[in-house]
Amino acid sequence: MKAVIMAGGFGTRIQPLTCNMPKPMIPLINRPIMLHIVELLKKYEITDLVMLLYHQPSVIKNFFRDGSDFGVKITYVTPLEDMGTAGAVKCAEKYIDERFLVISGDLLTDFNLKKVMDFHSDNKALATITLTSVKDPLQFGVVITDKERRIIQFLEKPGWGEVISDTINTGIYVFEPEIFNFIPANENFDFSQDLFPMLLEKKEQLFGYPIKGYWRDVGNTDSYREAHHDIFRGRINVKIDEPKQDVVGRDLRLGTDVRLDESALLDGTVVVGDNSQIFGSSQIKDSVIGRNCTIEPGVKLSRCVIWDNVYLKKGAKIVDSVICNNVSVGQGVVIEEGGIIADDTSIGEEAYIKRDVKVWPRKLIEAGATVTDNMIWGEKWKKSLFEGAIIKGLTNVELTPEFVAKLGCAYGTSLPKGSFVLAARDAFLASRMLKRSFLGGILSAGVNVRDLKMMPLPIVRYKLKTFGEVGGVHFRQSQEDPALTEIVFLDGDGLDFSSSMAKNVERIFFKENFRRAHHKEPGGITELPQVIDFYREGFARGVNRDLLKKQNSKIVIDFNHSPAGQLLPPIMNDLGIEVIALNAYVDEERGIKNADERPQSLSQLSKIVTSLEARAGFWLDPTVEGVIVVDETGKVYTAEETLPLMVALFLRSGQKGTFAVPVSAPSVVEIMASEKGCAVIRTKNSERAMIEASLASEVIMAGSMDGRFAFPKFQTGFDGMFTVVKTVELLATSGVPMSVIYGEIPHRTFLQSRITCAWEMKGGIMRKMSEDSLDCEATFIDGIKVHFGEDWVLVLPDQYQPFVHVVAEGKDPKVVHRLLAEYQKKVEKWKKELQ
Amino acid sequence: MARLLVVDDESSIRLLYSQELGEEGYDVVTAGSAVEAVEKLQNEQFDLILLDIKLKNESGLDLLQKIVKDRHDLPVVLCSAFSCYKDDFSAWLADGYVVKSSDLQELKDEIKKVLAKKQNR
Repeated sequence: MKAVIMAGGFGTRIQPLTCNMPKPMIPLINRPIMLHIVELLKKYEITDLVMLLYHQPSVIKNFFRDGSDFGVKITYVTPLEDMGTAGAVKCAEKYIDERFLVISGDLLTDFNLKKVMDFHSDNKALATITLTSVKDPLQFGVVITDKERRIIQFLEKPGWGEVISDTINTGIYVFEPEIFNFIPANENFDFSQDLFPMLLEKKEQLFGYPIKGYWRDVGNTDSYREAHHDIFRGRINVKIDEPKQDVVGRDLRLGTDVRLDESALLDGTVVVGDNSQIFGSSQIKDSVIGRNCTIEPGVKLSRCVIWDNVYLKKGAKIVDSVICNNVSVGQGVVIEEGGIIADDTSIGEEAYIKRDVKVWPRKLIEAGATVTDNMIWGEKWKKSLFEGAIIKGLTNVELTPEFVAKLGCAYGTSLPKGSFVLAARDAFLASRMLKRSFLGGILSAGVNVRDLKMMPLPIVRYKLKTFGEVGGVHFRQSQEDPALTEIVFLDGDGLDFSSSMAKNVERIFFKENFRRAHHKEPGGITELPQVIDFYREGFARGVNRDLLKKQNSKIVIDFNHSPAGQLLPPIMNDLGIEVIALNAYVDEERGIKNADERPQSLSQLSKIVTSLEARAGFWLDPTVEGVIVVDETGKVYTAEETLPLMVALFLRSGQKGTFAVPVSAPSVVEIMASEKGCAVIRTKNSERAMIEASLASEVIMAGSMDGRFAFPKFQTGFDGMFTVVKTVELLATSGVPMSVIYGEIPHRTFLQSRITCAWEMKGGIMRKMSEDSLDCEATFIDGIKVHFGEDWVLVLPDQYQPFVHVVAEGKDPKVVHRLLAEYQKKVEKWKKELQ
Repeated sequence: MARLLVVDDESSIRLLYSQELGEEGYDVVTAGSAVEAVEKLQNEQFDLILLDIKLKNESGLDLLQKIVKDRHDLPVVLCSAFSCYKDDFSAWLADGYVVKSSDLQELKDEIKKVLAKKQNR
């Protein structure tokens, strides 16, 4: 007698175990599931097998070859397209001319197949379906038979109301070869859907044979783990390759060349594949370990399935989980029940994988990360959600609606119940989608939302300065990559989230320690239509209206389709400034321009400024925080030129006060300020540090190195719209063209570069830099800045990216170039030494 | 000791606030009208103003606008029997908003909070 093994499925329901192999090849106690089926067939002397393949056939063929290694003869049939179950068997018709058995390649069963075949033969059946009783028949096909075991009804995947029997179709059939007459060729045809109902209708000899024994469809990851539990509990006996050891009270199976320390504590059934090593005092209970695995001391495994080439470092604790091939699990990692870690994944030290989380292949989980959700497409699970005050991620991949809803819930939980937060977004559809999900989360924690809808971030900050809200969030598309969405978190004063606030939200998020509002007390959403008027009022108070009106300046602004295009022109017109607005309409479907499109936009802006004889031009970045300045001659200023220019404008207009600038800013700022009796405060490079510095009453401007400026008299946050108008006002006060003012700035050479540097090396680089600077005059505000008279060099590790910045400034260009090159070399050398 | 100016047209409220806030350790000066308040602001130094929104024939919000324009750094806490002014954008110019209540704790807390915020600036 022959058997047909159905082994063509994609195994979608059991992903990610099937990402790199077809479902019948998934190991069950270190052997492919299908090999257990082959063994079962052999037991009943069925050795002539036809394997029906479809998905990844070569993996199966390479393993079984002609079957001789396993004591069977195998013929492979690979239909060219999905023919359905019966249609696929039809493709094997030419190899079958006698009674045959059909069985799925992903079943775990110990049924007595002889009894089924005898029943079939005794009843002279055309087809016999093997039946069994299960507790939960809903996901299977229910079958009803009469007293003679003739099938009288089928019910495919019934609801509980429809269940009239717990007897289900097991997917094991016996057929006479005449069955092929009922299956059309080259047509998608299914046993349950098409063939059996047809046989029933035609009153053919269709029987059902109920059988007792173990039967499990290994269809999903839960079922896969439970199949192992059943084996551990002895509910089914399967062949295990690894020989049983002569140990009383334990079922220990060890392959060849296994190293097992005596101090290892083993309990229940433990199977260890060839060439695996278990060191020291590991505790392993009811688990299967594959081949070439290394388990370090202190590892605790309970009810785990570990595939091949897995490295478990000291103290890892894994419960009821599956670890696939080539996975490395760092020291102290905890994987809770139901965890599935797919092939080629690396989990950093002390990471925490929460219950039922599935990690798809080739992922990198950072040390200390807590993974609460299935990780499917993103490459990396970060240890911390926040980068400063921002959470950013790939839209709908990392930042999905369900992810941000949970995040909203965590944020809401961190705030007092019944309090209010402001929420706003930029012009893009993705921002709107995610913001809406986020708001749901906030409301669920009993916190109210004042929704500003599409509103630039500076206006959100401005409103937060007043009472009424305890914080705010702004959703926007990233400027670095249009596929990323950024969520900016603000505190009750409109400042960026502090690290302690961010940690608080993260802690709630990862622990899922949410406050869920009572059903009568969820938060509500209201709108604040007057916010723009409020901002406009404050804006007008912050500048010299009379002077601006008198000057009647003409300027050109590229608004980059941001909402500022609708807000700023009316404000400027009220101030008597003539605005030529470019790209001022909001286009929700238009993404942020690529970085390579920017030079062309700037060149166009420059041409328009000169041809219209405008006083200046501004390229407002889509976040409405930063600007790129163009002078009346069409010169486009770089960010590092803009900061000294703004300081020069203030000084030329006669204003006194202090400027807050980051440690990496050119020192020409200090030179100019001291000449005019003004001061400069150096701050860390972070946005919050700059804004905090600008809270001091003597500060008249805080300027970053990327074109963002804050004017504390108006508001402490960076505001591109106000920067534009303030610049026009300063130009009007000074009465001199911008190019002339720039020309008066003492010329110094300023160079900056960045060097790639792995995260774990940053500390070492800074230690070496600090050792290297022992005999020099150095400052340590942020990074290490070494002074050589008027010249200086700064080595600064990037806060969020794997880079180290090297910045140098001085009078003589040659000296600056030499300084930069020298320190670049030093960093490269330190990198090598640290490797 | 922080110096407060309480601007309210009701003398009983002025008396109550003087006593209660005085016991809290503040030096309290009162004004019964916007005009009186402006006069006092011109001649004396204060750390915070407690301002009623509805003054007899004057608007506390107008006074607020004037204070914000002239004395940018001087914090103002609005104190009103009505909560609806919270949504009036000119009220947002203030540093705090308290709805008048027989329990003065909220008012005291708000004053403390705003003064602390001012100190941090």
